Amino acid sequence: MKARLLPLIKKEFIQIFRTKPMLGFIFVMPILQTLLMGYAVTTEVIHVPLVICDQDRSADSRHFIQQIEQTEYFDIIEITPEYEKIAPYFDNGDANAAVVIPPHFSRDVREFQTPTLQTIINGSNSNTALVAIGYLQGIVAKFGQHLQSELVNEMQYYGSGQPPVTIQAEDRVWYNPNFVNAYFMVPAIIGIILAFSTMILTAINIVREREVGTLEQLMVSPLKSHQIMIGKLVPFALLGFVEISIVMVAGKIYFNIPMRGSYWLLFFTSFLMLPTTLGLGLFVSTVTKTQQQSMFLAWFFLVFIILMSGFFFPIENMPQWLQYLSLLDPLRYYTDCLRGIFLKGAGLQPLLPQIIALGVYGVAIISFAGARFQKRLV
Amino acid sequence: MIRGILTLAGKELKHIRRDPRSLALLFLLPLIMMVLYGYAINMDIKDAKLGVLDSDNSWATRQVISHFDGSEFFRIYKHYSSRDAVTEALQSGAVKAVLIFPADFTEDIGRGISPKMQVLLDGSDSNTGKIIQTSIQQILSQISFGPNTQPMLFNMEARVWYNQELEGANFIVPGLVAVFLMMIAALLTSITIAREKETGTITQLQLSPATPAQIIIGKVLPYIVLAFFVGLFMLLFALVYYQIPFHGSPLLLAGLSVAYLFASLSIGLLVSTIAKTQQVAMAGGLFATLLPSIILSGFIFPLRSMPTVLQWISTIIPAKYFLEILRAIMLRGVGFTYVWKPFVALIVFTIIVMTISTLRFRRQLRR
Repeated sequence: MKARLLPLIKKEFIQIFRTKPMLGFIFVMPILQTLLMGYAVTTEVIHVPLVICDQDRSADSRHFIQQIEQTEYFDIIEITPEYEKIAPYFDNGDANAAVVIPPHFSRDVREFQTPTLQTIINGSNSNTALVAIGYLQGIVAKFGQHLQSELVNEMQYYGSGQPPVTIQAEDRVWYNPNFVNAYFMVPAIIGIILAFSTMILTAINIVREREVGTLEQLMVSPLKSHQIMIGKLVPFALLGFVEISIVMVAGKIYFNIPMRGSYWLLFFTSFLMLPTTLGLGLFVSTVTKTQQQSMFLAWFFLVFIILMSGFFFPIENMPQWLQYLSLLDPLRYYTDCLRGIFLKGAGLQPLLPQIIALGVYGVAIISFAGARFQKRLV
Repeated sequence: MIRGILTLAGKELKHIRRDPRSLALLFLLPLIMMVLYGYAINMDIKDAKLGVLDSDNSWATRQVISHFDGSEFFRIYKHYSSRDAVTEALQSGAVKAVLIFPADFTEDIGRGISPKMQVLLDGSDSNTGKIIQTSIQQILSQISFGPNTQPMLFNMEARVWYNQELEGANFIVPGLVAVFLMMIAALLTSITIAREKETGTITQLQLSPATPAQIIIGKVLPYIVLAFFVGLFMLLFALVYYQIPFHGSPLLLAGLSVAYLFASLSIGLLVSTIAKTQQVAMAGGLFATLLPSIILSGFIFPLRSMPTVLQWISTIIPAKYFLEILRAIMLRGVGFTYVWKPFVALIVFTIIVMTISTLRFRRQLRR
């Protein structure tokens, strides 16, 4: 049994290593993806281009502008007294925010006329718009406090009575105190690379053999159908482990990702994830006829499980029906494990539900796909 | 000359027709993706789960807690009674943050000094964590205890242009169209030539009287038409299903889309001149289009927040320019004078990449 399997596995490796560009993808892609996602996948909103329409031109308005300048949230691209100049900037896409300080603002404040500061936001990107509005509100609130203390100095306004007390809150951020984006993204990339390399490669590889006709040669060989299957899956499983090791090393060296949990648990959960992705690849190979079809379908599965895994977008933000749908996604549980182990040092116990889910999905998917595959072989 | 192109295009059309399953996938997959992605890509946080550890349990702490429960941002998930329970809740991810009130919270207020409290945050998700931190700070800063409430010195009025309801789908869905078009167009072309190489039919093309330029145009033409229809289909779906506003001129958009399609196809061509097998072509096509178009195009992640090097790289991503065009025409309703820059960028990109791949292809044909 072993004597028959080994040559098959060896053949598979020879085939993989023979295609030079493929080899490049297999080894370079994880590193590039780690770098790209570690840096680029950020929903942080900084350097929003902003136009200021200062119709007041007072010491107060200058102070306000200074406060905006001090943050990295906004880049002031122009300060103009003309309101009409704002619209072209927005239409061009050169500015996404504007602040309008009305004429006599400073005087009106001192006469308690409550003038209105206007802010304009380009709402096309609803996400950044909301965040930018929040930033502006913060800056305006600070400016309000400044004005208040000015007034106290100038006219001894709040002379009497006990001032109201506000809460003094101390923030403690756990697990990732500096909010480093890469700490969150890179562990999860391991899941994506594992899914990509095992699922898509398995599917395309098997369909290719069928297309070229070499799968028939295997069928007439003395190998049993489950041996053929194992011989097809083992090389890609090994490859998957190589890939995730590459990501881990790249993440450690380049981003200095902390590893607070146990490597054993990490490999154990990865091992549990494999039957799922290999099984999906196997399944795709049984329902498609050409490499093109199998790639489309495998790609669809991949995009779906990545989206639903909470990799880019928090699952809690999705509508309820999508949250239920995400329970079907095995990658979701694996991503939870990866992030939990790396960042929170989570052990077996807090991750138990995820681990059980991975195991159940793995067994179910691989047996279903395996049965289909063997039926088609015979 | 034109006949040669048409013959080749007809042959390619047969390839497409003979594989109805792929054709169906081509229209069906983007549809499913659009439904899922339109809902799933949502950055605004609603009902984030908060835990509470209240050692004071008084009117004052309850007042603070009710401020959080009343906001649409947060939901009080659970009251904990010990530090250990809090630690476990954060570790398992049950709550995103915990408000901790010390026993002397109300006492401090009575004495007229600022009461102290602690906020524990799960920072592992850096993006969400940061947003949650600022919103907690914002809510806390609005609470004050005492007799004197200060009058407002001025109002702030926030206006939103173009997408007043801040509807997420209006931003995401046009982006999806751009990403899928790029992938479909680039993938399809990259496979066609690689398939000729793999099956050996490339020799027949070498023997034919058609010039390399004719072969390329003939091969690409059917896919341009096909991708154009897929794009049209997706846009119509977006307009009907998501009711995305369309303020600009559809004709202008259609015209500029063709430039984008050519840019996408040129990437596919380049990949196919490098790849020898379909497998490599697919991996290359996916790699050259999927990640860059999603991540470096401004589709979701703001380019201006990225490191400068990545911002440079983004200037050679066609999806970035098409996204600018799409959003400008659909959401802002502006005319050509506002979008000629990305249009020129697309044209330049196409010319450069097409020239490189035609040259490479010509060399391969001679061999």
